[in-house]
Amino acid sequence: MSAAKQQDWNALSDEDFRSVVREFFTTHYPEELRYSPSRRRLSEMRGWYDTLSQHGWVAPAWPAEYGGMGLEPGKLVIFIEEQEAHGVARVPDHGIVMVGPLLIQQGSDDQRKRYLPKILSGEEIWCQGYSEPNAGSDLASLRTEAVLDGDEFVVNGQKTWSTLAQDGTHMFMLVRTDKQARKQEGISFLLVDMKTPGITVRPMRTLSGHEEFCEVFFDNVRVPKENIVGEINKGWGVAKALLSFERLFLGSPKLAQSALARLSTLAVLAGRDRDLVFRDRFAALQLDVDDLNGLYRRFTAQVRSGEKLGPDVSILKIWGTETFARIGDLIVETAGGAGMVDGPSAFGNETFDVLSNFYNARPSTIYGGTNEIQRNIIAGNVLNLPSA
Amino acid sequence: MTENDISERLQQQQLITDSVTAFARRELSPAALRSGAVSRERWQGLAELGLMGMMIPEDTGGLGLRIGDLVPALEALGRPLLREPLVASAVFAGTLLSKTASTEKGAELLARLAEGALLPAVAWQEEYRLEASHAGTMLAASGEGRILTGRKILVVPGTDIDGLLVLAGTGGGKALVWLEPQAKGLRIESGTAADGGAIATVHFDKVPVDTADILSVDAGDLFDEALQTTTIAACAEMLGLICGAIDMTMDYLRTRKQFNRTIGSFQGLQHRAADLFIQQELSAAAIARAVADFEATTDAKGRAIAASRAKARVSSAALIVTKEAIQMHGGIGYTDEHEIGLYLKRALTLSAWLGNAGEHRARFAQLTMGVAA
Ligand SMILES: Cc1cc2nc3c(=O)[nH]c(=O)nc-3n(C[C@H](O)[C@H](O)[C@H](O)COP(=O)(O)OP(=O)(O)OC[C@H]3O[C@@H](n4cnc5c(N)ncnc54)[C@H](O)[C@@H]3O)c2cc1C
Repeated sequence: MSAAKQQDWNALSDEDFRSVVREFFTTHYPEELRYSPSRRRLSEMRGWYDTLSQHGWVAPAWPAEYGGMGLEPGKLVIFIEEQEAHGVARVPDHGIVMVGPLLIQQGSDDQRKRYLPKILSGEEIWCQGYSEPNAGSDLASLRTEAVLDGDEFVVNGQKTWSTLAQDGTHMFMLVRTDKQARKQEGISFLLVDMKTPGITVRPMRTLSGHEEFCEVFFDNVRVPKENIVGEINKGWGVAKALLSFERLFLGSPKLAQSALARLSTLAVLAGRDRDLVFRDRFAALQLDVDDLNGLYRRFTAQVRSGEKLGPDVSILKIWGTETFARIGDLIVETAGGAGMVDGPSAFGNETFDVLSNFYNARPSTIYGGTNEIQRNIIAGNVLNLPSA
Repeated sequence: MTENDISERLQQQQLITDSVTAFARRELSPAALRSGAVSRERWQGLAELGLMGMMIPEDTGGLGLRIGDLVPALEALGRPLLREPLVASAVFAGTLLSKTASTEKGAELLARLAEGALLPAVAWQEEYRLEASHAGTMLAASGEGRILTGRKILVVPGTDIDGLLVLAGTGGGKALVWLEPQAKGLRIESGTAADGGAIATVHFDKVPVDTADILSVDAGDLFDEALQTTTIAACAEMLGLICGAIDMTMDYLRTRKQFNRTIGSFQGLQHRAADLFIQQELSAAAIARAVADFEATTDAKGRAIAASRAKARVSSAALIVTKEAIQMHGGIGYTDEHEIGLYLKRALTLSAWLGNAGEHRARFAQLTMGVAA
């Protein structure tokens, strides 16, 4: 599928693999994009996406037969660790992390042929259209509808909070295809080209001042019938399979790990690294991150061995994002007076952006299913506690 | 104090609080925080309410009230996120000027401040840590006169000011110096605080200082007292912000519907809402205790303990509350468009200013438990 040579990464020893990965990032990753304080836009990441693509490194977790690196869980964790240690920013990765694995699992052959190569090449960038103004936590109450008219669906409605939709060439979305059926049963999963007439994208600014998500309006948007993934009215099940990928992804130690690295840098800059109070709190967070890693390995191993993820994967998202948030808090506290400064502060000859991790931690406990919803899932579906 | 004094004081306090509350309702809204700019007109309005003169001693034409009298007014102004630097300029600079009003310059500046015609900033901090020495900026003799050399950081407000009160070392002690923004050798490098307000790093490159502008050459104690007063005042403003954020969030919990229910009916959120209310009440209790201790003591250590007691609690509470407020709003809470985020930004700013919770806990420990081995 990809021009890059296929290689069996899993055959390497862990140490060898680690040094290959480290070498790769050191050689190829643009210095000025390291330790990005906020989500980077496509325009900034394009060059890096191309580099990854040329080397066949876009999709570390996809099976090799589809053009991924086919990493087994241990290797994947090493990959992530090295990526974080080097401060590599995310490319717009909805296609890589969500659409790809979904199509591999549940798409048709035609869909895989049509979409996967363009994700690997970076020609097509995906965004996610689930949430609506009145369907957030209660996603199944979504109302954007798709009505079949000949060979096409006609889509009308509004999506919101779509991350970086302004850069997206395609959206994977949930639409209502049967208004009569019970909530979850009338929903379908649709792939939409963002250039289709009738789509309007309005970027919105976040708390930290970046245009990170969008409202997307659909006005009689015509989408070919074959763009449905799975069967009509069975989209909820399709999305659910994706949700556990998402939870796995959102619970990855990435965020927490890179924030912890930033914290230890700051501690030195602020002259607090020898302080006993600081060390106690740092150690606690380090252990939180280490055990998060342990949990993460357990769940990725499950995925690799072909086992379905259960509702217990929610613990990963909760612990990962809340550990990230606690690290963000300690960064702010360790910075002292610099905690009131917007943007980078000078520490001697260096600068440090104190609030970026703190700000990024805010939505992490909201997106991908709020942490309250994740706790409801654990209480109800793992611990089998009765509902109110 | 006699019973009469106390009831008179309470009456005055009540009068001011009432008019301030009315002013806050009429003139202020959180959205104003977005513009970043200080409104001179509103500054004037605050002066007309008597706020600038509240803490000025009676013998210099003020009301002679104390920090405790100011708490309810600051709380009322903190609720709708007052943009104007009442605490930084009126309380901080005002207290310093009150204590140096025996000088001609001090008296003149104080009079202008009371009228709302002066917007000063205090430049004292040199490092991010509260407990650093902040003593690198020096006032030194040079030929006939004196010059100021050094650098101050985190100066609030950091732009559009009429002058700076600078704390400087003299070799033996500390001096308090007045500088106007156009002074030769003075460079104000303005940046932005988390809440969008201006904050500055100020560089002094052999700035000539007029003898008349030296308000004190023995400013160590009076400065410390002003700093502790200001710290408590900042807590009062944060308490207002905490109440405001909780109100807005409870309104949201009462109206937002998911799963065909008002989200406020979910017990998971109810318990956390109750926890936020506890934070609010703890903050009020900490401030009340700090005010009482502050007013009852005459020594610097007691005042510092009082200030740290309040700032440790309230800085922490303000962040807990505003972070939770965002979480309970869901996605909309993370947009720049929604006002709840402004509370978080203001909380970040005020909680870090003059020492964050961790720094004040450390100072509290040091002052009350002795020096760690
Ligand atoms: C930065 C960011 C990026 C996002 N990107 C995307 C994207 O690309 N595509 C997309 O489709 N969506 C995206 N989202 C949307 C996200 O999935 C929703 O915000 C989330 O599902 C919550 O929905 P809501 O915002 O409507 O909050 P609400 O559902 O209204 O929740 C408000 C509060 O109520 C709580 N609550 C709700 N129900 C319960 C309950 N039963 N029990 C206890 N508490 C409850 C919530 O936890 C929350 O605290 C993004 C959100 C953010 C912040």
